[in-house]
Amino acid sequence: MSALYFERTFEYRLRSFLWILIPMSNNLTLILFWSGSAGLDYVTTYYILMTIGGLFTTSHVEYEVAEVDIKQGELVNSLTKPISYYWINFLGELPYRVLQAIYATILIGIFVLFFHGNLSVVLKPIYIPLVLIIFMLGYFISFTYKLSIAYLSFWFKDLRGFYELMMIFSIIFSGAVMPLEWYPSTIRTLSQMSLFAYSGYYPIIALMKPFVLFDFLSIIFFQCIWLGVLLLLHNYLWKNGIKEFTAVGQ
Amino acid sequence: MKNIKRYLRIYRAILKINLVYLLTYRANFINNIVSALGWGAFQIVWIVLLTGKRGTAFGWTQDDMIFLTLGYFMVLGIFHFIFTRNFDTFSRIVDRGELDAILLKPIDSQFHSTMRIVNYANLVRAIVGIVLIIIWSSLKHYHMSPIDIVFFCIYVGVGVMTMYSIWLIFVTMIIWYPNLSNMVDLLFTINGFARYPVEMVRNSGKIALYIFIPLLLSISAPIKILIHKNATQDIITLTLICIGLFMFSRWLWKWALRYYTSAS
Repeated sequence: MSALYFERTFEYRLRSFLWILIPMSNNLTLILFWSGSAGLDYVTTYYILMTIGGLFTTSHVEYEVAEVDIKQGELVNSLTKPISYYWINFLGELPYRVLQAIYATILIGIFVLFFHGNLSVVLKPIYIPLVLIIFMLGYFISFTYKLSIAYLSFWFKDLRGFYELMMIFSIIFSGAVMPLEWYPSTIRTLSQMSLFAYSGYYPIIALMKPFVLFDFLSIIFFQCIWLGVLLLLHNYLWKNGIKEFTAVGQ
Repeated sequence: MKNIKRYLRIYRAILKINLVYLLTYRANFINNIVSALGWGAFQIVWIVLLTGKRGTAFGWTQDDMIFLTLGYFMVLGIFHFIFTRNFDTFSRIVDRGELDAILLKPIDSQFHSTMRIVNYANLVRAIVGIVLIIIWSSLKHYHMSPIDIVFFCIYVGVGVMTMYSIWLIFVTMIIWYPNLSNMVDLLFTINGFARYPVEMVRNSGKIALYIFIPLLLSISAPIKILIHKNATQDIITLTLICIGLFMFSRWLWKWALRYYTSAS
């Protein structure tokens, strides 16, 4: 099954590449915006890592689940399989991560060339396994969150407005605008506690700040709490939502 | 002249058809308004956060930058109102061979492909944008003469035409690669460049980024007229770019149609 997903993903390589250009061009404008200001190296590194980190930690499972599986009734195919729907989608997303990892490697090369290699990463090699765990948990948080909000389609016909509102929140609270420590105090406090920060922001910051063991463990601890909460929500929505599913449409 | 009158009559009919559609799916319309205003508000929050930290950037004060964002809010409202939905559906139309039906009609195929769907929700966004510009300019004491306003309106039109030409050039590529349905998503993001002053790219010293200047000028130039920044050079450049891009996009469209192979 995994091989089939890989085949489908690699069939549309150019399309996949365009998806990568989207965060890339967005962050390029931000790097340009900060040019000429103090601490440009830090900002450049931040946005470059945001672009690349986003490829690994941001899931895009919601459209397929909400629009195709639930609204068009394709979910019936998954219900007959002897594997949970959560893991079917996880396997479906895996090839995208692999393809995007390949693109990310190319992007790092281009960025380093374009910005003369001024990447200020201070991570000690000993902490690399912990950062990998943080990235993995970041992805699981994003994946479980996106899957959970897609389940709302069991009850509601058109959630585009809601999805876009949530996307706006995620852009602001995940530090896509600028590093969270630069936000005004109230928004900073809110965003630093949000699930979006634990999915997208902390994995990047873990590479850039001179953290000690306690800092890494505390990020992992809060990521686990968020993931636990989201899994409970996911299970609740799935169990109740599936009762609303009528196989053809909503 | 007779041809222009004919197309104006056709466009009036298109507006009516789209209005009927809007009245049929009212909840969808409200949903779209929430979405359009939400994204517009987000642009303002975005620039307030950035300029709150940076202050003056590229010779633009925080007030000027917010003015620029309000201009972006309004101009994008107009652009999305008239064109975007059409570009959005183009990949599906080409992929399924539905372009045949458009090519068979006795009107210009570019006109019909890019102007037959109207998104009224973004008209609301454009109107809100105008109101916000008026409020902001009176709050921050930007004085505008009637001539400034007339020139501003003309150059908003030129800016929208420039954006249209850029989008058309990219979307025409779909005739060769129909599966690139996310081309429009990329264009939405690239449009985001226009939120920033044109000096951001000019001062970067990176020639490769100059390709974004037409987009940046399409918002910066009209706003500069209103806030009395030195706009002469930008206005001349934008006018020339607009004419050049429009002619090129028209030629590319006609050329690309020769390679359209219908379904499959």
